[in-house]
Amino acid sequence: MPQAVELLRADLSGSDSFEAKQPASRAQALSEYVAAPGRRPVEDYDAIRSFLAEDWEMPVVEVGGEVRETELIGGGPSDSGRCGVRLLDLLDTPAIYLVVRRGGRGKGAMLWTLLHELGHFASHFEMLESVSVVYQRLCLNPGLEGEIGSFARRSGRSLRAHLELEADLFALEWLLPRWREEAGELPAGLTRDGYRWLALRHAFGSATVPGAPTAAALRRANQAGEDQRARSEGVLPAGATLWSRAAWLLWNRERLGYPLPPSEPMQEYGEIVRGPSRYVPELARPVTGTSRLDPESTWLRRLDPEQVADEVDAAQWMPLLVPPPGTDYPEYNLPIRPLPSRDPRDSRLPWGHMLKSPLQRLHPLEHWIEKARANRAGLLLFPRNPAERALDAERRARS
Amino acid sequence: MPGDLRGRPRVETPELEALDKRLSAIGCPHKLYEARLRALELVTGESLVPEIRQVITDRLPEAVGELGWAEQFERDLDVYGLWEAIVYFHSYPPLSEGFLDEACELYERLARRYLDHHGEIVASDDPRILIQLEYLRQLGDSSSHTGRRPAEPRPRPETIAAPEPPEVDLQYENRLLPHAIFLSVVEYFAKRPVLPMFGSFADELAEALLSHFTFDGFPGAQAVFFETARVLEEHEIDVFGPEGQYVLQRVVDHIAIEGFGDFERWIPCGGCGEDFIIEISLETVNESLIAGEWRCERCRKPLSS
Repeated sequence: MPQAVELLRADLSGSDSFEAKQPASRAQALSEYVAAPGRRPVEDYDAIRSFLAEDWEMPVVEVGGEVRETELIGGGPSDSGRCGVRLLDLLDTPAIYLVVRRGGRGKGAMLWTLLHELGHFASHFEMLESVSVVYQRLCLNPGLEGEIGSFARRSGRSLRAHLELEADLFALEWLLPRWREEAGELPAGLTRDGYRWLALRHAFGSATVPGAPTAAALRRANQAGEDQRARSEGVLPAGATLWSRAAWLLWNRERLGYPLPPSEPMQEYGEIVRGPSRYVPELARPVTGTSRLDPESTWLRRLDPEQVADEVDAAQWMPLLVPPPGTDYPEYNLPIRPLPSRDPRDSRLPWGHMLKSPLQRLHPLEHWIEKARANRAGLLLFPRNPAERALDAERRARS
Repeated sequence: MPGDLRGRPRVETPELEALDKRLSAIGCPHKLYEARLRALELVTGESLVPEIRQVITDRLPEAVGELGWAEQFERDLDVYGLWEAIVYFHSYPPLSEGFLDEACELYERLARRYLDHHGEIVASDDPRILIQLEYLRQLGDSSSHTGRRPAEPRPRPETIAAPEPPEVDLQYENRLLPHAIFLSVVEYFAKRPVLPMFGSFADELAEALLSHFTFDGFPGAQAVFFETARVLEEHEIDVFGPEGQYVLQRVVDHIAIEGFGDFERWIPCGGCGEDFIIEISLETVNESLIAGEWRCERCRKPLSS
């Protein structure tokens, strides 16, 4: 593993400058890395994980239960990983971390998931960075929830498909560099289909390319590759397995290219959140008054005050809202989060305002519930998700 | 001579002196940027920012008799705030009669209104207000005019304790949210996820204050100690007790080194008219906190005298 980490360091660490450590530079470095001719892929899950944590301060958290992602565009189904942003507040650039679900599908599947999530960072870090701006705006303008919700209903599925496809393509490019096929580096006796089939099996950790395969083994691989190519000629079926998705991409990647051209829903999302910049239009044009709540377009889960304690202790992957009574959006939402702690129960922790400085005095949940009620404001709670709890639990003291 | 005319030639004229005297009379230490006035609008429910356009910007071309000065005013307002933008009128071509008076009256009214609601604004939990102030902070707003701040005296304590390092409690649990930038710096050097732990609340608070002043904008060599005292009181720590003095001492030590050369250490005295360099020691800081403002090193009078 140390050798694999060194390889990654050599190719990805770049200069020690401030500029090189910025997410945009790192995303660019990843995109260039996967496209580099002659690159030998690093397939060691632990080495990649170790490199990301130690050199890029991007922890990879393994969790045992359900994982969810893409909360702003309607929330995807239960997934095997997540490229998450840790919102310590809504003011500074959020920290990015990766989540990989531990499961019975083996290290190969975990490697694919890790690279897929890293692909989200490489291709969509601007979207990830926009999350804190979107929540800032949701606090200033609660009615924005309806605008985002209506977009998610209209285009969320298509946007998610685009994002997932691009992240998968990154994983594929990492594990199976194009240059090998393009350079004709195929073992004797293997067709291109057979080589692809074996290489993909190898990437998923279930087989290795034999050094001196028998003629029968080569025939079997070539036939399996041919069958796989035939299966990959149609459209990618919804709900396809990890293997089918990867195989479909492998036999279609020349046509797709990487990175994908921006899709219409991506551009529309950018217009709604005002792009990757930290531009907050409500600053220049303060929102006044309230707008009617459209139940069809709400996507933040709503709670009654008495449900809060139980719900913040459960596994949550999205913020929760305690709305004020009534059918209108409130004038503003109060965003709060718990103190990072090794205590797994958020309800027992003091909570702080996410737009105030860390010098503020923290208060129990009841204080904030009462404060929001008295001001007829929404209370936007950001409980820690299971990965963030795991991160807090593994954080060690400085001295 | 105002100490805020940075980046501009300092041409002393009777007009400048008169303008400075008139606008300073209201005693508003806070720079009235548009964002701060929007925060005031949210608290009062009044429409204030458009008044600047109506009373000043839109009338400037006619008042000066030349185009282009309205843009200059808008730029000054954006960069320096309303006080300076009006003070700079001394460098404009002669203005029509009455215009300057109305501009000054508008400033006086807005500044008085702001002073009435300052406490409410800074204590607010309303994100619309907090974001306006944060926007200013990110632009590098030093919040207040150099050399001026409202007097906030504290009763003189019977005794001032010696700063006492707190006992280290190995079971101590943090009580403050971590500073995101501080955390990333610590994790960068540690090469692993770290939850910075402290042995006492006083140490945690001192570290948080220093991170805040380092990463979130330095409020000025005077304001930094008044802000520290405010935070101590928010957390119910006696400023003049051993714990409060320990935190203050740590801030003093830090500012005495890191803040050296800060231009805000040169303060014009209202009493003797001389500029002096404030002395940063725990003793001076305590005396200033009791007086509510710094005292001139030369005439020993409070700055507002």
